[in-house]
Amino acid sequence: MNPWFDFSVDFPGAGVASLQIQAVIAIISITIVLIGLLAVRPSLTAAHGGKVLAFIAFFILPIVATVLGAAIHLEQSTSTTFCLSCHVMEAHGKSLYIDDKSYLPASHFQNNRIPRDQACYTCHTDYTLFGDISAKMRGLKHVYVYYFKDIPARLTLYEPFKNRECLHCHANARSFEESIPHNMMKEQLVSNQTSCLTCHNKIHNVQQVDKLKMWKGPAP
Amino acid sequence: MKDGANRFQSKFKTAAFVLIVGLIVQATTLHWATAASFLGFISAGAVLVLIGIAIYLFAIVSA
Repeated sequence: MNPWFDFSVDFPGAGVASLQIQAVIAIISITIVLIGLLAVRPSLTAAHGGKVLAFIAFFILPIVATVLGAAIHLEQSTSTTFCLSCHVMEAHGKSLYIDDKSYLPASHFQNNRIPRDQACYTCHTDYTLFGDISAKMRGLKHVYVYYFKDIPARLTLYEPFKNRECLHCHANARSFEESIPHNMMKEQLVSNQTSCLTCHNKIHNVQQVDKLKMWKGPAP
Repeated sequence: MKDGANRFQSKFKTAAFVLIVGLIVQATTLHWATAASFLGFISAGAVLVLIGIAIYLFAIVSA
């Protein structure tokens, strides 16, 4: 594998701070030690204090560890590494390195217009009140299909890409506002009558990605 | 009476074993940010922890 496309390596600053992971692992370790101690010496639970300790070790701490662990996993699911960990997404990851600035995802990725460690999530989440949750629900569905169903030969979005996701960053940006074509069709763009992708139509192009020239930028 | 205590200890130890395995699975999966580790956390780690808690609660209720 070309090392430039090795998404198994985290990008600098990717994912959740390792401090949070270490904190959860510390809680899990303490819980395991307590449970082990009480299992080896069940007589400790005869006293009132022992009963309370057992309740904390067998009930409270495992729930705390599970909730915090799930929160970390959900946060990590926004990372580029996470999305590209499924083999089927490899070509999409590779397309971020196409050496052609007319390719929308590649130019955003390579010029840091989106955070590289959350490249997929930044463009493919809904910028709505519950967009975060719906993006994660879609992600869960993807994981389910990847492991338990037949993966479609051609991957498509559930619904057409909405301009809202582009305008979340580009609206009010000087480069967008001063562009004559954008100004001419501003209403249509805002109301989603005309898709941004009508003109900016070079996207991932995964069918051709192996034939295109690749940017050998800084390794992840 | 002794039988009851033995049954409690047996369930208590089973709960401890299941919980420890579940927690080890959870801790292991936290090292990777991949779909497989997420699935492992949910389908093995979290499930085992919940089963362990259920066995523990059953043990203290039936003691």
